[in-house]
Amino acid sequence: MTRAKQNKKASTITLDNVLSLIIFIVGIILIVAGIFKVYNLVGEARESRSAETLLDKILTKAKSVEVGEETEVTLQGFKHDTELLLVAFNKDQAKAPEKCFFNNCLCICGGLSLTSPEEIEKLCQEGVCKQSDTKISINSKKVIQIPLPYAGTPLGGYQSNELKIELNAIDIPQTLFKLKIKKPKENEVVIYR
Amino acid sequence: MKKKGVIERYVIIFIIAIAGFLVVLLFLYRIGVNNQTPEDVCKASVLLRASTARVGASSDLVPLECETQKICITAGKECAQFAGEKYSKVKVDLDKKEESKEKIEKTIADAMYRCWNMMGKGELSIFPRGTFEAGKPTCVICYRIAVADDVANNKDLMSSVNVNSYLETRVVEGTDQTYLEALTNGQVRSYARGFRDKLSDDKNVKSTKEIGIAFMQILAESEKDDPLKAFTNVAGTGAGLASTGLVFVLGPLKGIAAGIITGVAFGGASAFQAFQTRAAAAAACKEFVKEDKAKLGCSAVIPFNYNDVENFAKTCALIESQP
Repeated sequence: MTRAKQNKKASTITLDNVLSLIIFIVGIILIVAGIFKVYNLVGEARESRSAETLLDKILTKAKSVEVGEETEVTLQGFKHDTELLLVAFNKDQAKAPEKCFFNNCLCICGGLSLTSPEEIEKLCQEGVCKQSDTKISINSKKVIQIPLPYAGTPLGGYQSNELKIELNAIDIPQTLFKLKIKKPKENEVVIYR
Repeated sequence: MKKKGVIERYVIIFIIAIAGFLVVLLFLYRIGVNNQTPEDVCKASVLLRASTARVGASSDLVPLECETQKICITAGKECAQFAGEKYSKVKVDLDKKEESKEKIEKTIADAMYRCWNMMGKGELSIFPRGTFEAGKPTCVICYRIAVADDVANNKDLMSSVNVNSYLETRVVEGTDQTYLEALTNGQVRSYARGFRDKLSDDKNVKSTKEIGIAFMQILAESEKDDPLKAFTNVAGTGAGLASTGLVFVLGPLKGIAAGIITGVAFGGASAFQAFQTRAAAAAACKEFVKEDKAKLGCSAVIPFNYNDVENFAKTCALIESQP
Protein backbone atom coordinates (compact mmCIF):
# COMPACT_ATOMS: atom_id res chain seq x y z
CA MET A 1 0.00 0.00 0.00
CA THR A 2 1.41 3.36 -1.00
CA ARG A 3 1.79 6.25 1.48
CA ALA A 4 -0.85 8.27 -0.46
CA LYS A 5 -3.39 5.45 -0.11
CA GLN A 6 -2.57 5.08 3.60
CA ASN A 7 -3.09 8.83 4.16
CA LYS A 8 -6.42 8.74 2.30
CA LYS A 9 -7.63 5.80 4.43
CA ALA A 10 -6.53 7.52 7.64
CA SER A 11 -8.34 10.73 6.73
CA THR A 12 -11.51 8.75 5.85
CA ILE A 13 -11.37 7.01 9.25
CA THR A 14 -10.89 10.35 11.00
CA LEU A 15 -13.76 11.89 9.05
CA ASP A 16 -15.97 8.91 9.92
CA ASN A 17 -15.03 9.24 13.58
CA VAL A 18 -15.70 12.97 13.66
CA LEU A 19 -19.04 12.51 11.92
CA SER A 20 -20.10 9.75 14.27
CA LEU A 21 -18.96 11.77 17.26
CA ILE A 22 -20.98 14.80 16.10
CA ILE A 23 -24.07 12.66 15.49
CA PHE A 24 -23.60 11.01 18.88
CA ILE A 25 -23.30 14.36 20.68
CA VAL A 26 -26.30 15.83 18.84
CA GLY A 27 -28.29 12.70 19.67
CA ILE A 28 -27.37 12.87 23.35
CA ILE A 29 -28.25 16.58 23.48
CA LEU A 30 -31.64 15.88 21.86
CA ILE A 31 -32.38 13.02 24.26
CA VAL A 32 -31.37 15.07 27.33
CA ALA A 33 -33.42 18.03 26.07
CA GLY A 34 -36.36 15.69 25.52
CA ILE A 35 -36.08 14.28 29.04
CA PHE A 36 -35.95 17.78 30.53
CA LYS A 37 -38.93 18.89 28.44
CA VAL A 38 -40.95 15.88 29.64
CA TYR A 39 -39.77 16.51 33.22
CA ASN A 40 -40.83 20.16 33.06
CA LEU A 41 -44.22 19.30 31.59
CA VAL A 42 -44.81 16.70 34.32
CA GLY A 43 -43.70 19.20 36.96
CA GLU A 44 -46.02 21.90 35.62
CA ALA A 45 -48.90 19.43 35.47
CA ARG A 46 -48.25 18.45 39.10
CA GLU A 47 -48.26 22.08 40.21
CA SER A 48 -51.46 22.75 38.25
CA ARG A 49 -53.14 19.70 39.79
CA SER A 50 -52.21 20.88 43.28
CA ALA A 51 -53.48 24.39 42.50
CA GLU A 52 -56.76 22.98 41.17
CA THR A 53 -57.24 20.88 44.30
CA LEU A 54 -56.67 23.96 46.43
CA LEU A 55 -59.16 26.06 44.44
CA ASP A 56 -61.77 23.26 44.56
CA LYS A 57 -61.37 23.04 48.32
CA ILE A 58 -61.81 26.82 48.78
CA LEU A 59 -64.83 27.03 46.47
CA THR A 60 -66.52 24.00 48.06
CA LYS A 61 -66.01 25.51 51.49
CA ALA A 62 -67.30 28.89 50.25
CA LYS A 63 -70.47 27.22 48.98
CA SER A 64 -71.19 25.70 52.38
CA VAL A 65 -71.03 29.02 54.26
CA GLU A 66 -74.41 30.48 55.25
CA VAL A 67 -75.21 34.16 54.71
CA GLY A 68 -73.85 36.26 57.56
CA GLU A 69 -71.52 33.47 58.72
CA GLU A 70 -67.77 33.08 58.68
CA THR A 71 -65.73 29.89 58.52
CA GLU A 72 -62.10 28.84 58.46
CA VAL A 73 -60.49 26.30 56.19
CA THR A 74 -57.13 24.57 56.60
CA LEU A 75 -55.29 24.21 53.31
CA GLN A 76 -52.22 22.27 52.33
CA GLY A 77 -49.71 24.38 50.43
CA PHE A 78 -47.40 22.66 47.97
CA LYS A 79 -43.90 22.98 46.63
CA HIS A 80 -43.60 25.60 43.89
CA ASP A 81 -40.65 27.27 42.27
CA THR A 82 -42.06 30.78 41.86
CA GLU A 83 -44.24 32.88 44.14
CA LEU A 84 -47.93 32.01 43.78
CA LEU A 85 -50.87 34.29 44.52
CA LEU A 86 -54.56 33.66 45.07
CA VAL A 87 -56.49 36.24 43.07
CA ALA A 88 -60.22 36.75 42.40
CA PHE A 89 -61.86 38.16 39.26
CA ASN A 90 -65.48 39.13 38.89
CA LYS A 91 -67.61 39.09 35.81
CA ASP A 92 -68.19 42.86 35.90
CA GLN A 93 -64.44 43.45 35.86
CA ALA A 94 -63.16 44.84 32.56
CA LYS A 95 -59.94 42.86 32.58
CA ALA A 96 -59.95 39.20 33.51
CA PRO A 97 -58.15 36.10 32.24
CA GLU A 98 -59.71 34.52 29.17
CA LYS A 99 -60.25 31.27 31.02
CA CYS A 100 -62.77 33.01 33.28
CA PHE A 101 -65.13 33.31 30.26
CA PHE A 102 -66.78 36.48 31.62
CA ASN A 103 -67.65 34.68 34.87
CA ASN A 104 -66.59 35.19 38.46
CA CYS A 105 -63.48 33.16 39.07
CA LEU A 106 -60.75 32.38 41.54
CA CYS A 107 -57.22 31.93 40.24
CA ILE A 108 -53.77 30.88 41.43
CA CYS A 109 -51.22 32.82 39.44
CA GLY A 110 -47.50 33.53 39.43
CA GLY A 111 -46.90 37.08 40.64
CA LEU A 112 -43.23 37.84 40.29
CA SER A 113 -42.99 39.56 36.94
CA LEU A 114 -45.71 42.09 37.67
CA THR A 115 -45.10 45.74 36.73
CA SER A 116 -48.58 47.16 37.34
CA PRO A 117 -51.71 45.94 39.17
CA GLU A 118 -53.57 45.76 35.86
CA GLU A 119 -51.11 43.19 34.63
CA ILE A 120 -52.29 40.55 37.08
CA GLU A 121 -54.85 39.40 34.55
CA LYS A 122 -52.05 38.76 32.04
CA LEU A 123 -50.13 36.68 34.57
CA CYS A 124 -53.25 34.69 35.34
CA GLN A 125 -53.54 33.65 31.70
CA GLU A 126 -50.80 31.17 32.60
CA GLY A 127 -52.31 30.34 35.98
CA VAL A 128 -55.03 27.99 37.12
CA CYS A 129 -58.58 29.37 37.42
CA LYS A 130 -61.92 27.98 38.55
CA GLN A 131 -65.19 29.66 37.74
CA SER A 132 -67.79 30.41 40.38
CA ASP A 133 -71.44 31.50 40.44
CA THR A 134 -70.73 33.64 43.46
CA LYS A 135 -68.94 36.98 43.41
CA ILE A 136 -65.60 36.53 45.19
CA SER A 137 -63.38 39.18 46.67
CA ILE A 138 -60.01 38.87 48.37
CA ASN A 139 -59.74 41.07 51.41
CA SER A 140 -55.99 40.78 52.01
CA LYS A 141 -53.32 43.04 50.64
CA LYS A 142 -50.17 41.80 49.02
CA VAL A 143 -47.41 44.28 48.31
CA ILE A 144 -45.01 43.39 45.53
CA GLN A 145 -41.77 45.37 45.36
CA ILE A 146 -40.10 45.59 42.00
CA PRO A 147 -36.55 47.01 41.94
CA LEU A 148 -36.07 49.47 39.09
CA PRO A 149 -32.72 50.23 37.44
CA TYR A 150 -30.49 52.72 39.29
CA ALA A 151 -31.00 56.28 38.11
CA GLY A 152 -28.55 59.17 38.22
CA THR A 153 -29.25 62.12 40.58
CA PRO A 154 -28.51 65.82 39.87
CA LEU A 155 -25.61 65.65 42.36
CA GLY A 156 -23.97 62.94 40.39
CA GLY A 157 -24.85 60.12 42.75
CA TYR A 158 -27.23 57.27 42.20
CA GLN A 159 -30.55 56.51 43.80
CA SER A 160 -32.47 53.31 43.70
CA ASN A 161 -36.06 53.25 42.62
CA GLU A 162 -38.51 50.67 43.74
CA LEU A 163 -41.96 50.18 42.41
CA LYS A 164 -44.48 49.02 45.01
CA ILE A 165 -47.60 47.38 43.74
CA GLU A 166 -50.49 46.65 46.07
CA LEU A 167 -52.80 43.86 45.11
CA ASN A 168 -55.84 42.18 46.58
CA ALA A 169 -54.18 38.82 46.71
CA ILE A 170 -53.02 36.12 49.13
CA ASP A 171 -49.67 34.36 49.08
CA ILE A 172 -49.83 30.59 48.66
CA PRO A 173 -47.28 29.19 51.11
CA GLN A 174 -45.51 25.84 50.80
CA THR A 175 -46.82 24.53 54.10
CA LEU A 176 -50.19 24.32 55.88
CA PHE A 177 -52.16 27.57 56.08
CA LYS A 178 -55.62 28.82 56.96
CA LEU A 179 -58.04 31.04 55.11
CA LYS A 180 -61.15 32.70 56.45
CA ILE A 181 -64.25 32.79 54.31
CA LYS A 182 -67.31 34.90 55.05
CA LYS A 183 -70.54 35.44 53.21
CA PRO A 184 -71.86 38.97 53.89
CA LYS A 185 -74.79 38.48 51.51
CA GLU A 186 -76.21 35.94 49.10
CA ASN A 187 -73.96 35.43 46.08
CA GLU A 188 -71.00 37.21 47.61
CA VAL A 189 -68.02 35.69 49.34
CA VAL A 190 -65.03 37.37 50.96
CA ILE A 191 -61.78 35.47 51.43
CA TYR A 192 -58.98 36.68 53.70
CA ARG A 193 -56.15 35.40 55.90
CA MET B 1 -20.57 6.13 -0.56
CA LYS B 2 -18.98 4.81 2.57
CA LYS B 3 -19.59 8.11 4.39
CA LYS B 4 -23.26 7.96 3.43
CA GLY B 5 -23.47 4.45 4.82
CA VAL B 6 -22.01 5.57 8.15
CA ILE B 7 -24.47 8.43 8.45
CA GLU B 8 -27.40 6.16 7.61
CA ARG B 9 -26.23 3.68 10.25
CA TYR B 10 -26.10 6.38 12.93
CA VAL B 11 -29.42 7.85 11.87
CA ILE B 12 -31.01 4.41 12.24
CA ILE B 13 -29.36 3.88 15.66
CA PHE B 14 -30.52 7.32 16.71
CA ILE B 15 -34.12 6.65 15.61
CA ILE B 16 -34.08 3.30 17.42
CA ALA B 17 -32.74 5.02 20.57
CA ILE B 18 -35.49 7.65 20.48
CA ALA B 19 -38.13 4.99 19.84
CA GLY B 20 -36.75 2.96 22.77
CA PHE B 21 -36.86 6.02 24.98
CA LEU B 22 -40.49 6.63 24.06
CA VAL B 23 -41.40 2.98 24.66
CA VAL B 24 -39.78 3.11 28.12
CA LEU B 25 -41.60 6.38 28.89
CA LEU B 26 -44.91 4.89 27.78
CA PHE B 27 -44.22 1.79 29.86
CA LEU B 28 -43.39 3.85 32.96
CA TYR B 29 -46.45 6.01 32.40
CA ARG B 30 -48.76 3.02 32.08
CA ILE B 31 -47.30 1.33 35.15
CA GLY B 32 -47.37 4.52 37.12
CA VAL B 33 -50.83 5.63 36.26
CA ASN B 34 -52.89 2.54 35.65
CA ASN B 35 -51.65 -0.34 37.72
CA GLN B 36 -50.18 1.10 40.87
CA THR B 37 -51.73 2.48 44.01
CA PRO B 38 -50.81 6.05 45.00
CA GLU B 39 -48.63 4.52 47.71
CA ASP B 40 -46.70 2.43 45.15
CA VAL B 41 -46.19 5.46 42.94
CA CYS B 42 -44.94 7.47 45.91
CA LYS B 43 -42.59 4.72 47.05
CA ALA B 44 -41.15 4.36 43.54
CA SER B 45 -40.48 8.10 43.34
CA VAL B 46 -38.84 8.04 46.79
CA LEU B 47 -36.53 5.22 45.70
CA LEU B 48 -35.72 6.98 42.44
CA ARG B 49 -34.90 10.22 44.23
CA ALA B 50 -32.72 8.47 46.82
CA SER B 51 -30.90 6.57 44.05
CA THR B 52 -30.19 9.67 41.99
CA ALA B 53 -29.01 11.50 45.11
CA ARG B 54 -26.49 8.69 45.66
CA VAL B 55 -24.91 9.22 42.29
CA GLY B 56 -24.58 12.91 42.99
CA ALA B 57 -27.57 14.27 41.09
CA SER B 58 -29.57 16.97 42.79
CA SER B 59 -32.47 15.27 44.50
CA ASP B 60 -34.58 18.21 43.39
CA LEU B 61 -34.37 16.84 39.86
CA VAL B 62 -36.57 13.89 40.77
CA PRO B 63 -39.94 15.05 42.05
CA LEU B 64 -41.78 13.10 44.72
CA GLU B 65 -45.06 11.73 43.39
CA CYS B 66 -46.72 11.57 46.79
CA GLU B 67 -50.31 12.67 47.08
CA THR B 68 -51.80 13.04 50.55
CA GLN B 69 -54.34 10.24 51.01
CA LYS B 70 -57.53 11.04 52.90
CA ILE B 71 -59.23 8.56 55.23
CA CYS B 72 -62.60 9.18 56.82
CA ILE B 73 -63.55 7.18 59.93
CA THR B 74 -67.32 7.09 59.93
CA ALA B 75 -70.40 5.29 61.15
CA GLY B 76 -72.33 6.48 58.10
CA LYS B 77 -71.97 10.25 57.78
CA GLU B 78 -69.64 11.96 55.34
CA CYS B 79 -66.50 13.68 56.60
CA ALA B 80 -67.15 17.40 56.20
CA GLN B 81 -63.40 17.96 56.54
CA PHE B 82 -62.90 16.42 53.09
CA ALA B 83 -65.68 18.31 51.31
CA GLY B 84 -64.73 18.60 47.65
CA GLU B 85 -61.93 16.02 47.95
CA LYS B 86 -61.62 12.32 47.16
CA TYR B 87 -61.31 10.07 50.21
CA SER B 88 -61.64 6.50 51.38
CA LYS B 89 -63.85 5.38 54.27
CA VAL B 90 -63.27 3.18 57.28
CA LYS B 91 -66.65 2.19 58.67
CA VAL B 92 -67.17 1.60 62.37
CA ASP B 93 -70.22 0.25 64.19
CA LEU B 94 -71.01 2.51 67.12
CA ASP B 95 -72.91 -0.32 68.84
CA LYS B 96 -69.70 -2.35 69.02
CA LYS B 97 -67.45 -0.12 71.05
CA GLU B 98 -64.48 -2.46 71.50
CA GLU B 99 -64.35 -3.39 67.83
CA SER B 100 -64.69 0.26 66.73
CA LYS B 101 -62.00 1.40 69.16
CA GLU B 102 -59.61 -1.17 67.73
CA LYS B 103 -60.50 -0.21 64.15
CA ILE B 104 -59.69 3.44 64.83
CA GLU B 105 -56.40 2.54 66.52
CA LYS B 106 -55.45 0.19 63.69
CA THR B 107 -56.30 2.78 61.03
CA ILE B 108 -53.96 5.33 62.61
CA ALA B 109 -51.20 2.81 63.39
CA ASP B 110 -51.34 1.37 59.86
CA ALA B 111 -51.21 4.83 58.32
CA MET B 112 -48.11 5.63 60.38
CA TYR B 113 -46.45 2.36 59.41
CA ARG B 114 -47.36 2.69 55.73
CA CYS B 115 -46.01 6.25 55.70
CA TRP B 116 -42.74 5.11 57.30
CA ASN B 117 -42.48 2.25 54.83
CA MET B 118 -43.34 4.41 51.83
CA MET B 119 -40.66 6.96 52.68
CA GLY B 120 -37.88 4.37 52.97
CA LYS B 121 -38.00 3.57 56.71
CA GLY B 122 -35.65 6.41 57.56
CA GLU B 123 -32.86 4.72 55.65
CA LEU B 124 -32.91 6.95 52.58
CA SER B 125 -31.79 10.52 52.14
CA ILE B 126 -34.72 12.04 50.33
CA PHE B 127 -34.67 15.78 50.72
CA PRO B 128 -32.04 18.19 49.43
CA ARG B 129 -29.63 19.29 52.11
CA GLY B 130 -30.32 22.96 51.45
CA THR B 131 -33.84 22.67 52.80
CA PHE B 132 -32.59 21.81 56.28
CA GLU B 133 -31.17 25.22 56.91
CA ALA B 134 -32.37 26.69 60.17
CA GLY B 135 -33.18 23.19 61.31
CA LYS B 136 -36.52 23.01 59.59
CA PRO B 137 -37.23 19.67 58.05
CA THR B 138 -39.02 19.13 54.78
CA CYS B 139 -42.15 17.06 55.17
CA VAL B 140 -44.42 14.78 53.28
CA ILE B 141 -47.97 14.58 54.59
CA CYS B 142 -48.76 10.97 53.78
CA TYR B 143 -52.27 10.81 55.23
CA ARG B 144 -55.05 12.92 56.61
CA ILE B 145 -57.39 11.01 58.90
CA ALA B 146 -60.67 12.58 59.93
CA VAL B 147 -63.57 11.41 62.06
CA ALA B 148 -67.10 12.10 60.85
CA ASP B 149 -69.40 13.88 63.29
CA ASP B 150 -71.28 10.69 64.22
CA VAL B 151 -68.04 9.10 65.48
CA ALA B 152 -66.55 12.29 66.95
CA ASN B 153 -69.67 12.89 69.02
CA ASN B 154 -69.41 9.47 70.64
CA LYS B 155 -67.25 10.65 73.56
CA ASP B 156 -67.29 7.25 75.21
CA LEU B 157 -65.71 5.62 72.17
CA MET B 158 -63.30 8.43 71.44
CA SER B 159 -61.98 8.67 74.97
CA SER B 160 -61.21 4.96 74.94
CA VAL B 161 -58.95 5.12 71.88
CA ASN B 162 -55.29 4.67 72.81
CA VAL B 163 -53.05 4.48 69.81
CA ASN B 164 -49.85 4.64 71.85
CA SER B 165 -50.74 1.42 73.55
CA TYR B 166 -51.76 -0.13 70.24
CA LEU B 167 -48.39 0.75 68.72
CA GLU B 168 -46.56 -0.78 71.65
CA THR B 169 -48.47 -4.03 71.89
CA ARG B 170 -49.75 -4.96 68.44
CA VAL B 171 -47.79 -6.69 65.75
CA VAL B 172 -47.66 -5.33 62.20
CA GLU B 173 -49.43 -7.68 59.80
CA GLY B 174 -46.99 -9.97 58.01
CA THR B 175 -44.11 -9.25 60.39
CA ASP B 176 -43.07 -10.33 63.88
CA GLN B 177 -42.47 -6.76 65.05
CA THR B 178 -44.78 -4.47 66.97
CA TYR B 179 -45.62 -1.15 65.35
CA LEU B 180 -43.31 0.55 67.84
CA GLU B 181 -40.43 -1.75 66.91
CA ALA B 182 -41.13 -1.40 63.21
CA LEU B 183 -41.30 2.39 63.40
CA THR B 184 -38.00 2.53 65.25
CA ASN B 185 -36.30 -0.04 63.04
CA GLY B 186 -36.34 -2.55 65.89
CA GLN B 187 -34.60 -0.35 68.41
CA VAL B 188 -37.39 0.47 70.83
CA ARG B 189 -39.62 -2.14 72.40
CA SER B 190 -41.45 -0.06 74.96
CA TYR B 191 -41.79 3.56 75.95
CA ALA B 192 -39.49 5.07 78.49
CA ARG B 193 -41.35 5.45 81.76
CA GLY B 194 -40.92 9.22 81.92
CA PHE B 195 -42.25 9.60 78.45
CA ARG B 196 -45.25 7.43 79.23
CA ASP B 197 -45.97 9.49 82.36
CA LYS B 198 -45.68 12.72 80.43
CA LEU B 199 -48.20 11.46 77.91
CA SER B 200 -50.79 10.68 80.51
CA ASP B 201 -50.18 13.94 82.39
CA ASP B 202 -50.24 16.22 79.38
CA LYS B 203 -52.68 18.99 80.09
CA ASN B 204 -52.16 20.77 76.79
CA VAL B 205 -54.12 18.28 74.81
CA LYS B 206 -56.28 19.89 72.17
CA SER B 207 -58.98 17.81 70.65
CA THR B 208 -59.47 17.79 66.91
CA LYS B 209 -61.53 15.93 64.37
CA GLU B 210 -58.66 15.63 61.94
CA ILE B 211 -55.06 14.56 62.15
CA GLY B 212 -52.27 14.37 59.62
CA ILE B 213 -49.55 11.73 59.42
CA ALA B 214 -46.33 13.37 58.27
CA PHE B 215 -42.90 12.08 57.45
CA MET B 216 -40.08 14.43 58.37
CA GLN B 217 -36.38 14.25 57.80
CA ILE B 218 -33.50 16.38 58.94
CA LEU B 219 -29.84 16.07 58.14
CA ALA B 220 -26.91 17.29 60.18
CA GLU B 221 -25.55 20.40 58.53
CA SER B 222 -21.92 19.40 58.59
CA GLU B 223 -19.72 16.45 59.31
CA LYS B 224 -18.98 17.80 62.76
CA ASP B 225 -22.63 18.11 63.65
CA ASP B 226 -24.21 15.53 65.81
CA PRO B 227 -27.38 14.45 64.02
CA LEU B 228 -29.10 14.22 67.34
CA LYS B 229 -28.08 17.79 68.03
CA ALA B 230 -29.48 18.82 64.67
CA PHE B 231 -32.66 17.07 65.63
CA THR B 232 -32.63 18.87 68.95
CA ASN B 233 -32.52 22.23 67.19
CA VAL B 234 -36.07 21.57 66.21
CA ALA B 235 -36.91 20.43 69.68
CA GLY B 236 -38.48 23.71 70.68
CA THR B 237 -41.10 23.36 68.04
CA GLY B 238 -40.97 19.63 68.37
CA ALA B 239 -42.11 20.06 71.91
CA GLY B 240 -44.94 22.13 70.56
CA LEU B 241 -45.93 19.25 68.43
CA ALA B 242 -45.49 16.94 71.33
CA SER B 243 -47.93 18.85 73.46
CA THR B 244 -50.58 19.48 70.90
CA GLY B 245 -49.81 17.12 68.07
CA LEU B 246 -49.02 14.36 70.38
CA VAL B 247 -52.21 13.49 71.79
CA PHE B 248 -53.94 15.61 69.51
CA VAL B 249 -56.36 13.67 68.09
CA LEU B 250 -59.71 12.44 68.09
CA GLY B 251 -60.89 13.84 71.33
CA PRO B 252 -59.21 14.44 74.62
CA LEU B 253 -57.57 11.08 74.57
CA LYS B 254 -54.73 10.52 76.89
CA GLY B 255 -51.77 9.30 75.00
CA ILE B 256 -53.20 8.57 71.64
CA ALA B 257 -50.92 7.64 68.90
CA ALA B 258 -48.66 10.33 68.10
CA GLY B 259 -46.75 10.35 71.21
CA ILE B 260 -44.77 7.49 70.32
CA ILE B 261 -43.27 8.46 67.29
CA THR B 262 -42.87 11.80 68.74
CA GLY B 263 -41.08 10.17 71.58
CA VAL B 264 -39.09 7.96 69.40
CA ALA B 265 -38.22 10.13 66.57
CA PHE B 266 -39.02 13.64 65.73
CA GLY B 267 -40.65 15.26 68.65
CA GLY B 268 -38.44 12.72 70.22
CA ALA B 269 -35.85 15.38 70.10
CA SER B 270 -37.59 16.93 73.04
CA ALA B 271 -38.38 13.62 74.55
CA PHE B 272 -34.85 12.36 74.62
CA GLN B 273 -33.62 15.57 76.07
CA ALA B 274 -36.14 15.58 78.82
CA PHE B 275 -35.98 11.96 79.66
CA GLN B 276 -32.49 11.06 78.62
CA THR B 277 -33.85 8.35 76.40
CA ARG B 278 -31.22 9.08 73.83
CA ALA B 279 -31.39 5.64 72.38
CA ALA B 280 -35.06 6.02 71.73
CA ALA B 281 -34.63 9.33 70.04
CA ALA B 282 -31.80 7.98 68.00
CA ALA B 283 -33.86 5.09 66.83
CA ALA B 284 -34.77 6.59 63.54
CA CYS B 285 -31.62 8.61 63.38
CA LYS B 286 -28.93 6.83 61.54
CA GLU B 287 -26.36 7.25 58.84
CA PHE B 288 -28.11 7.59 55.55
CA VAL B 289 -25.03 6.70 53.64
CA LYS B 290 -22.48 5.00 55.80
CA GLU B 291 -19.44 5.98 53.81
CA ASP B 292 -20.42 9.61 53.91
CA LYS B 293 -20.61 10.78 57.49
CA ALA B 294 -21.78 14.23 56.45
CA LYS B 295 -25.03 12.70 55.54
CA LEU B 296 -26.12 11.98 59.04
CA GLY B 297 -29.65 12.73 59.95
CA CYS B 298 -32.94 11.75 61.46
CA SER B 299 -36.31 10.75 60.14
CA ALA B 300 -39.63 10.40 61.82
CA VAL B 301 -43.29 9.82 61.26
CA ILE B 302 -45.50 11.98 63.41
CA PRO B 303 -49.20 12.39 63.76
CA PHE B 304 -50.22 16.01 64.26
CA ASN B 305 -53.34 18.09 64.71
CA TYR B 306 -54.14 19.06 61.13
CA ASN B 307 -55.85 22.24 62.23
CA ASP B 308 -52.96 23.44 64.38
CA VAL B 309 -51.43 25.20 61.39
CA GLU B 310 -49.17 27.57 63.33
CA ASN B 311 -47.36 24.81 65.17
CA PHE B 312 -46.98 22.67 62.11
CA ALA B 313 -45.70 25.53 59.94
CA LYS B 314 -43.09 26.43 62.58
CA THR B 315 -41.73 22.93 62.36
CA CYS B 316 -42.21 22.12 58.74
CA ALA B 317 -41.46 24.89 56.29
CA LEU B 318 -41.91 22.93 53.11
CA ILE B 319 -44.39 20.23 52.18
CA GLU B 320 -43.32 18.08 49.27
CA SER B 321 -46.50 16.06 48.90
CA GLN B 322 -49.42 17.11 46.74
CA PRO B 323 -52.66 18.07 48.52
